[in-house]
Amino acid sequence: MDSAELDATLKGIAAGSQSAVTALYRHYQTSLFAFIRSQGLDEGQAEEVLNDTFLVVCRSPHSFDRRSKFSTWLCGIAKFKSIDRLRASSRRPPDSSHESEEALSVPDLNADVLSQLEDEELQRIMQHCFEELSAAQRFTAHLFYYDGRSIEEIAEELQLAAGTAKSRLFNARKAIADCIQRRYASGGQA
Amino acid sequence: MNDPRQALFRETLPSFVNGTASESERQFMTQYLRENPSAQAELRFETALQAAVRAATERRPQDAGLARLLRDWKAGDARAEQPRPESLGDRIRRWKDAFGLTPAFALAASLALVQAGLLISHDRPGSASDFRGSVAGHGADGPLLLLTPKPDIPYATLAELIRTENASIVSGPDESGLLMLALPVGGRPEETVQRLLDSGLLDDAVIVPPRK
Repeated sequence: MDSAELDATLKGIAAGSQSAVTALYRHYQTSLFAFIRSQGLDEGQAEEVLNDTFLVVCRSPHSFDRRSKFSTWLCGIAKFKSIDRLRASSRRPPDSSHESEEALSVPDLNADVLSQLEDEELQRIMQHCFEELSAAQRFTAHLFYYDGRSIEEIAEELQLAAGTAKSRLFNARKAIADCIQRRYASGGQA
Repeated sequence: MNDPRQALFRETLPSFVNGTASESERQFMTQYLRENPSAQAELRFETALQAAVRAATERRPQDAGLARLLRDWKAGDARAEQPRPESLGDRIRRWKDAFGLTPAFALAASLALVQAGLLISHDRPGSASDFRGSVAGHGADGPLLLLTPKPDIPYATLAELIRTENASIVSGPDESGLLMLALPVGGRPEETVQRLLDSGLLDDAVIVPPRK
């Protein structure tokens, strides 16, 4: 959604247009939901926060001041709402302070293992391993592989150094490669 | 990894698969894959990973919450057409106006009203009791403030103001915009309240009496 489309959508929402709300929701909900999940909330809680966040926007569409990207602003609201939700459930936000740029490494893939797995089996194990990633790694992988964003765009979105975003992605890939090896060694039980 | 071309291949592989590689990088990758059939395994891993991420994302119905959002949004519109319930800030201002209170007495009266509000308004959405419940056990040891932002103030502006006071949001904003802040331990709440009010961004700011 470019800037002109966004302006028109927000004006439509202010005027009470249901189709404008629908357009905004459909455009942003997937990534926003992934972001909220990355804050350490389970699926049910994330659905609540997603709804609360869109409600804030739909009830005051003019409060977006254009000092940041709309998606960044949306994530900012969702982050506060997520923290509130975590406090209410006495859980803590995920800690990513231990991350460093030095952790970068390329997955050590065992080509033999991959060659033994049929596509369907590989996909099944891969999906299981993806769910085992940390919340931050999952969201970074979502932005990269689902949204098709570059490392630089992800770094800007997450307000990280580009090196940190890159190492987070590479570590996610390494964790998945390790997970596949482990699962294969144990008989491929996903 | 001693082969610089292999290193470049592995470095570029993710962006090749997600479509953000440059034209020259794409050309290099295509050529490398043609010359090194064994590299196909790594490409297979990467494309399988992309498919797994997509599958995980798309497992959730795309319009799962849309109906609820539209319903809640419409319900909010309907409420907005009714007279707005008097907020805590409204009540405090009405008291000040009605009795012509001096600033010191007004503050004391405000505190008493806040305390009364905390004690009696258990079931009104957005009331101070909502905040009180969320404060319990959250670990804020410093003084607490209750803010009523002006309705047209962007959230980001407010967040910036709060940051300048080294305060943290304990709860809110709720549907009427009320926010509960915790100041750092040893913070001077009266001075903070004055600075917050001087910002012109708030309708009101009051100190929440400590729990007995």
